[in-house]
Amino acid sequence: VGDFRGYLRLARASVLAQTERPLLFWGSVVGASFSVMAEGAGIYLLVHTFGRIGGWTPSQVLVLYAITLLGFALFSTFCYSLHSPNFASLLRTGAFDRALNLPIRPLVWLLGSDLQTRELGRFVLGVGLLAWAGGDAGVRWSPGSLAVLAMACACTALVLFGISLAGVAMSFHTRQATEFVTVLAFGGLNLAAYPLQVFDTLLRMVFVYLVPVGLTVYVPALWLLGKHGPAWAGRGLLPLVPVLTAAACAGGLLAYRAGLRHYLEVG
Amino acid sequence: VNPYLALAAAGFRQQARSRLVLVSGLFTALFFGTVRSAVFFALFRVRGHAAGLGLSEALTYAWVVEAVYPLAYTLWSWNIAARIRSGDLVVDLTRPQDAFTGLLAYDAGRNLAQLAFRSVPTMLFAALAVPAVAGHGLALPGGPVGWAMAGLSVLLVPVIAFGIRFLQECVAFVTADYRGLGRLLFFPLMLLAGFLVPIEFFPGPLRVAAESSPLFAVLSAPVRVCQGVDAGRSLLVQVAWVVAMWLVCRWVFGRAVRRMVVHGG
Repeated sequence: VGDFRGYLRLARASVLAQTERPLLFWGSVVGASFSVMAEGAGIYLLVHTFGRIGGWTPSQVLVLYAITLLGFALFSTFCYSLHSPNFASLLRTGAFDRALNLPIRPLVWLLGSDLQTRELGRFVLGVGLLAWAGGDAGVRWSPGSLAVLAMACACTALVLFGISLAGVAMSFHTRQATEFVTVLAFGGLNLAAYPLQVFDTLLRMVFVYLVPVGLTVYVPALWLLGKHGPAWAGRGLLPLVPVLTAAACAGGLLAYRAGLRHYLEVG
Repeated sequence: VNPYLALAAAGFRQQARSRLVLVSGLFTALFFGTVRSAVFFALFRVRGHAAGLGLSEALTYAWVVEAVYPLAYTLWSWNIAARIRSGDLVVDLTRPQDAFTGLLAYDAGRNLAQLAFRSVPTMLFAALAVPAVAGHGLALPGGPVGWAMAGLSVLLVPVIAFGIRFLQECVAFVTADYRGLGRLLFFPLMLLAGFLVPIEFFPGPLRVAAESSPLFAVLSAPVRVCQGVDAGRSLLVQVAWVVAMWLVCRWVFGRAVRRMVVHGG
């Protein structure tokens, strides 16, 4: 079976399996959309009470949050099984070991076997939130701004993919989920939902240049909102976004391949 | 040995087994506490006080929430539902000790390990590092009575959280798709509990709803007890919710077990 055809078959089976259980499916879809409402309301309430944070208005901050959200929804839809606790569970139960015997690359099996349809709820609400907050913050939607937005979401998802692959490589050795990966991936997203200038220099540098999840959200948001930003992460860094994203993905893939090469099956 | 103590000890060992997990859990708490603190520093630079809170109270909220969160939301969520679904609960029911108390004892053991290796170090770090780095201390209890109340308040958190989780997991008695309900409720519960933002920032009706729910006793009450704001009343509310959750859980569990049909002979 070719990898692509194998992926499509696995993804189809995964989607069909999820829709077979309507209560779980709709609970998950609506629950994912509730996450947008709850987190968005939390950020809005906090910033609205003070008026601004780091010179950004509540709706401008919500634009940042919406980009993190859409990037996460993309990642979670296509790479759910790479999330540290999920992959550790596949290792412990021996499911990954069985996949090593299949006529398909293990990474393709991982990506295809758990395509998450529930992220549809997060995606739809995220787009709605972005449209509302962007309108309020004065974003002018044009083909150019939509292209920047699409790049921001895709790059954010790909950086998370790279970090998660590094986490998978760690799990090959530890057989466990590690929250270090949670901090780098989801902590970085949490941080990127606020203007980066409010954070300490060390945190800023780590999440702009080393684990560029801050860069992939903040710089495109500056571009969309017509802001110039600080010298260390100004809107002029937009061309650097895909470059650092590619570096993060390459680093993750190298770590994954090295981990897989030395992996000894559990059983 | 008392069977409940043995179960609690087993839970403690289970949770304390992996050093890597403990260290990375602590690292996570410190990271998110730092992010929350940075956000509050930036906000309170705009205005010194908001919603009745100053910077010290807000920083205390940030770090107490990080310390208490692993006791309220546990990584082993759905263990009880999984036991119901797999039929392991039937084995629990055949044992001489009470099944419900046994589950609570095991949970308490795991939470004690979380408290020792994650919550206490997180608060120690915050109490030492925040004044050194920011020149601004936390609003922590001043005397032994205040510390005793704070300690008791934190110890009550996993008991109330167990009750909430148990009720949620009892859905597994009627459907195998119990995770759908959990996913549906997770974020609204996090918002109402005050995990995403202090409930002091909520508009009137939402704040009343949050303060009247058991979720208040899980996160916001220990924050207030540690801040010394309305401490006595918050602690009493927690004790009342412990009693209420115990009674409701016992009633629900009793009914569910009476109606349960065991497959497989």
